[in-house]
Amino acid sequence: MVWQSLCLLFCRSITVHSTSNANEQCKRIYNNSNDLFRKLEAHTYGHIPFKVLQRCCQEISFGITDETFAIAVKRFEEGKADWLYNLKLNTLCYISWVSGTVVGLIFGYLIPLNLVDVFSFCLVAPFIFIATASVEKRFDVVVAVVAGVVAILLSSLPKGWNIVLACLVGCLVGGVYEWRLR
Amino acid sequence: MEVTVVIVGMAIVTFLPRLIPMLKPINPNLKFMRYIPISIFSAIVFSEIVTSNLKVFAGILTFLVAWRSRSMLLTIAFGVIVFYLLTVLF
Repeated sequence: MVWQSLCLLFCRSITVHSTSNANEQCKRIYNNSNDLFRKLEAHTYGHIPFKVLQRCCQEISFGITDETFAIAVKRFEEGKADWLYNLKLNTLCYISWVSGTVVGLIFGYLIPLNLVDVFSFCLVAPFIFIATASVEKRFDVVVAVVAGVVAILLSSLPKGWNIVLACLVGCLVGGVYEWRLR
Repeated sequence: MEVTVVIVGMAIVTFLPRLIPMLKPINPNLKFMRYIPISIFSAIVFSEIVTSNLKVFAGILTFLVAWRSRSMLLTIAFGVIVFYLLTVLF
C-alpha cells in the first residue's frame, strides 16, 4: 500500500514535470526518481501497521489528483468510504493520466500549430463547467462575479497573486453574507 | 537532488491541505469556506478569457452550454469546437 501511495505521488509529480519540460529533462527526472522510489520502498514498506494505512485510505483518497480526491471526499461524506474502492479509483486514474501524458509527450508534435492554441481552451472549458456547477444559490453568482472582476482588475500583479487575492475577496464577501444571515 | 526535493515538496504541500480537514472536521463557523471553489474557478476563468475577444465570446457560449446541459464532456467539446471555429472565421 505504501509502495502504491508513493508510486502515485511520484507519478503525479512526474506528470507535472513532463508537461513543462523537454524530453531529456524528463528522462533525467525519471531516472532520479526511480532511485529514490526504490529507497523509499525499502525503508517504508512493512514499518507502518496495515490498519493505520487502511484507516488512512478509508478517510482520504491517498492519491492527490483533484478528481480522485473529489470523488473520495464525496463518498466519505456519504458514509461510503472504502479503501479498496479508493485504491482502484486512484490506480485507474493514474494509469490513464500518466499514459495520456506520455502519449502527448511523444506524439504532441503531430498536432498542427494552429490547433495548439485551440487546445488551450480545453483547460478553460472544464473550469467554466465546474464554476457553473458550483452555483447552488443566487448569492453564489455574486461571489463568482466579484472574484472574477477582482482577478481581472489585479491582473497586473505577479502571476497567480490576482487569483489568490480574488479568492480571498470572494470568500470575504461570502463570509459577510453568511454572517448577516445568522 | 534538487529535483527530488522539489518532487517531495510538491507532494507534501499538495497532500497536507487535503489530509488535515479530513482528520479534523471543519468548524461550522467557517461557512465562508464553501465559497472557495467558486471564487477560485471564477477568478481563473475570468482572468483567462479576458485575454482575447474570441475567448470571451467562446467563454460565454460555453457557459450557456454548461448551465443548460450540466454535462462536462459536452461543455468541453462544445467549447473547443466553438473556439476553433471562431479562430478560423476571425
